[in-house]
Amino acid sequence: MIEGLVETVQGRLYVPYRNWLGKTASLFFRELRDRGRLMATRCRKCEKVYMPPRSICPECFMEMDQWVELPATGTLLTYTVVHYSYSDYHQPRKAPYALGIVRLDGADTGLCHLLGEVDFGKLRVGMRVEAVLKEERKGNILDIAYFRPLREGSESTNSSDSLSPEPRAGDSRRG
Amino acid sequence: MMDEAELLAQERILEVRFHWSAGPYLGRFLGMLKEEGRLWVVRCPGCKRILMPPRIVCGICYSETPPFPKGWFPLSGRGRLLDWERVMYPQMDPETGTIRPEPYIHGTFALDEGVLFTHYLGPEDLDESTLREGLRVEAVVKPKEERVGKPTDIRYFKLVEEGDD
Amino acid sequence: MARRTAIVGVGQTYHKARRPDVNIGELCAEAAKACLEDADLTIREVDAFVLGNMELFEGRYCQDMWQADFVGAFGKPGIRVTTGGTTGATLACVAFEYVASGVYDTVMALGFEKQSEGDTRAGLKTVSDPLWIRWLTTGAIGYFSRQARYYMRETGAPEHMGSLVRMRLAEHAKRNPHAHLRLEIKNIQEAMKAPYLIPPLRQTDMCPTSEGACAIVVTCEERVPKMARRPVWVKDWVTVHKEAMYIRGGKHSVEDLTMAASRLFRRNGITKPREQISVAEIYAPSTWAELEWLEAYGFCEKGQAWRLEEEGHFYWNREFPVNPSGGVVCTNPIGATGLIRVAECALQLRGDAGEHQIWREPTLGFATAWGGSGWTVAVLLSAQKE
Repeated sequence: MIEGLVETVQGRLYVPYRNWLGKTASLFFRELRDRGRLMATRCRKCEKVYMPPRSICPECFMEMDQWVELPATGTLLTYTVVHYSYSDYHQPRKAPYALGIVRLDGADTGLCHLLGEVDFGKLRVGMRVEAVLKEERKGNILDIAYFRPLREGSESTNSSDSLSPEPRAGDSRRG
Repeated sequence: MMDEAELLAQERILEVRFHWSAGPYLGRFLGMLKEEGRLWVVRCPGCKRILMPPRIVCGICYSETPPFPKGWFPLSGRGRLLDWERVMYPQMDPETGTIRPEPYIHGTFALDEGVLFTHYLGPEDLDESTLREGLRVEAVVKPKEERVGKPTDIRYFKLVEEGDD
Repeated sequence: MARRTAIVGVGQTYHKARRPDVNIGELCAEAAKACLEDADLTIREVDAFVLGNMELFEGRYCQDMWQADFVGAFGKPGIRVTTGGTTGATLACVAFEYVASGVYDTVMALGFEKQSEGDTRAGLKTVSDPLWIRWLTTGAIGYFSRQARYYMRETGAPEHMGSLVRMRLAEHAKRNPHAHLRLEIKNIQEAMKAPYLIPPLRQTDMCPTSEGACAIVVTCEERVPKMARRPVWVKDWVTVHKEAMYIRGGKHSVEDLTMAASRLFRRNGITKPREQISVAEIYAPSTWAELEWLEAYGFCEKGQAWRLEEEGHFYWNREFPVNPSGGVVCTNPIGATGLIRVAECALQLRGDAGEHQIWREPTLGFATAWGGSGWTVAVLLSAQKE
């Protein structure tokens, strides 16, 4: 270090935020937190089902007010294994850990989440998975602890007192 | 039925660390402040104004300035009070997320060399009613072991008597 | 100018301190929808988008990724613009340039801010240089208190002038259903009771932090006859940068404003601004700034603005209406504010401002925005095509 010369200045941002979720996302997280239900929205026009739910269909540009309860089971569309730890604060786990995009049964879109109770080498695209919810839930996406491979012959652990139409199993509405 | 009343918010703290390269000019300025406790500046060869903090080109006439030490000189740290503000509302420091206690006084000073400078006016129990435009002020620099190479190496500016050089 | 451009639709949300019922994308969607309804267009007829805000306020970067598929920009070309306080007006200028260049025919510009989601003052401080000034800055409020003291000293304006300006803006905002702060201020004494932020600046002298979004649709001359609304022609626009304030050591200067306005006026044959321009939507974050900047833009002589204010000259139903929408002091969702100035000016020229429509039939409108590093944007709009 040269005397009388500063080379780098350390600094940081440390600013609190409080982002409003909006009516739609609030409903999703309330239902997840209080009743362990996974709610999706459906567009009346193109009939696409969105998970995570959103208020406006991006293709039809229409507001969606139809809610559909989805089961906790789905199909793994893709996955990756993170081997690099860079922040205790920003990462949900210490590496290595696996992340995947899951299409819940009945949805047309994928939900990104952690994958657990699985040997990384056994992960496969197209694998059937199910959500594992935490006992104590706070109203955020980590109320789902992770998705794990569906055991052969296991039922969905979701409650069945759904007030919305039967969710349909996936592929027919694509394309 | 679904309860629509509660609207949720996600709370989080954005914490990101940075390390900025100071560059040869500002690095020298901050380094000399840390080393000597003095403000070293450079004069623009084109329009002759003092660039404080020093920089590689003058923003107005776009002349290049010479690197340290040619054309550089230290400011005395003395001048006159031009204007001040008593900050009476709470402000958050984006570096720490903490609220800076108020009130405190922030001043604009016309330094003897013909440069304007802004910094705190101290000490903390300074009586604002004693302030007048034109009063003599002087920088109070932290002791060397406390200096880190930031503008806060100057603790504040204090009022001094005329002729107190 | 390559092609004539016109504003054919405007939309904005009802600005509030907090909108917990919508997230960022949904807030933008409201403005986009309002704008399309006003223009009687579908999203399919919009060719490109210009999106923006002031990112640190919500703590999320690359906002356009989040806004895009809520405002109907899914799969369409566009660009993100973030220029601090001037964002809104810069969005408008980029939209004008997109259409004037001939690359796109119909463009939507949309800006927003959700300021209750972060600490505004901490956010503003990050605009300042982290190497030098961030530890010391008092932010926008510090700048505007200094500006007030400077104006009072230079022109002899009495301390109650700030409150007088606020009374006018409050009267205007009461007539504007979209405005955020629609206060009832009965008299000067009441206004002068407001607490100080940094003397002489009071809480009532300074703009609020608001949540809201605004959108405009701009199209080219060829498409105008097919549009539902009366077009508001974009006559000219200009942007000026200057050096960040700290380099000058805090010396107060409004030369960027004068540079911008004089360039715009010279190019368009405006020699008597207060006579030739019918309405001004000036971006002024504080009441004192509004006075000084009217002078800086050339609408009156130095020291004259406060005297004209005392005579009520700038009311909506008087000689030279300034900020008939209530201005920035009554509504300030930062990323949208500059665009609201352009949109409100357009509404006036169209005769569609409802209860806050100025009393005289306007021909030329002047809208501006100003940002932290002395970036000034000025836009001239016309009711006639010429």
